[in-house]
Amino acid sequence: MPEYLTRKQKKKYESYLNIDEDMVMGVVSFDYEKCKGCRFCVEACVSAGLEMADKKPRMILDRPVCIACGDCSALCPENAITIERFQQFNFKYRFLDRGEPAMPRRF
Amino acid sequence: MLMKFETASSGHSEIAVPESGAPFNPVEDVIYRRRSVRLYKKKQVPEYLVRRVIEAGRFAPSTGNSQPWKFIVIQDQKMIKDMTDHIVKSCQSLVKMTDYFSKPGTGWRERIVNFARLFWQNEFHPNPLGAFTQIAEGKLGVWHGAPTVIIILIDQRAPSKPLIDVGVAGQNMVLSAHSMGLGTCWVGFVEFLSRSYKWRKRLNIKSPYRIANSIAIGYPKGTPDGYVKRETKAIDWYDENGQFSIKY
Repeated sequence: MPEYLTRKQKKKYESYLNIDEDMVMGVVSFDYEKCKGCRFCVEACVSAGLEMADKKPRMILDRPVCIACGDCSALCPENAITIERFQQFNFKYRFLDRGEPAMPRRF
Repeated sequence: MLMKFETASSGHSEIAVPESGAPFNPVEDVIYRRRSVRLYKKKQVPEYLVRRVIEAGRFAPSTGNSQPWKFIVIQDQKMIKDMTDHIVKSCQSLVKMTDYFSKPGTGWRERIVNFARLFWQNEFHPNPLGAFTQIAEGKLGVWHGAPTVIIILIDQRAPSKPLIDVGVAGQNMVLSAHSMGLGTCWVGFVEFLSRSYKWRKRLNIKSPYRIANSIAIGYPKGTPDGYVKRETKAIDWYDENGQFSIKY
């Protein structure tokens, strides 16, 4: 059946004091064998969630910001980036009625 | 005086209906491959291409054929820089009140935001709040160095929902731009300009018009367009026999 927010969830806002539990942000993974360190993904990231370390990109460590838009993986000339996890908020801003992520499908 | 129009070979040619599982046609391909571009070359977009993009917006469907849009094209780099500076400053002053996100333990900011969410729940969604912080800290550009910016205004007197009509027109423009090898990105932070008297005067925005959104256009660096995974959403489906099912 379709999901809806309960009355409690509608009233309750997430608190980001405990970021990992209240808000699940996206995760991308890098294939460092393919990566040539062109920096495109770091410069194009909308949420400034990537940084360079030892000439290779990685996700920033201090707080999760990735919105899993997939721009980095589409831009990467070596196809070295994959989205591992999509974002999810809690309570008031929870995404509803989601299925499994998929590439464009031909029906 | 009546103008004569060239008609393309008796109006319309017949469009073939594809078989199930047939490969994407060029229009579908542009739709699926379009990614927001946030890395631009400095090369300016020629006028004929910008006009061609706006022409696609002009033929968008709208409520009661009201066409409630107006476009401002800005190719003046100094003006784009001034607008960016204004938006960065606005973000900095806003973030002082709202940034509980990167400063945990400051509970009063969180209370302010939660109170504001009673009235503007979309504006104070955690996603834009995070973007405000990034812009204020200088980590995120506003128009990402795009050489051309198109600001879309709505006519507030238009019937029904002019924001949706303008969105449809904008999507037409964006897709046609990508089909011509340009890159685009929607930028909503331009709304800060409409709150400033100075900028309303400079851009000459008067009463029935209001800033709705903006599109950055330019030549992309690298090849950002490509297929990515997106999550599927549940579809409620009532079929011919009256059966209900949920499909993904």
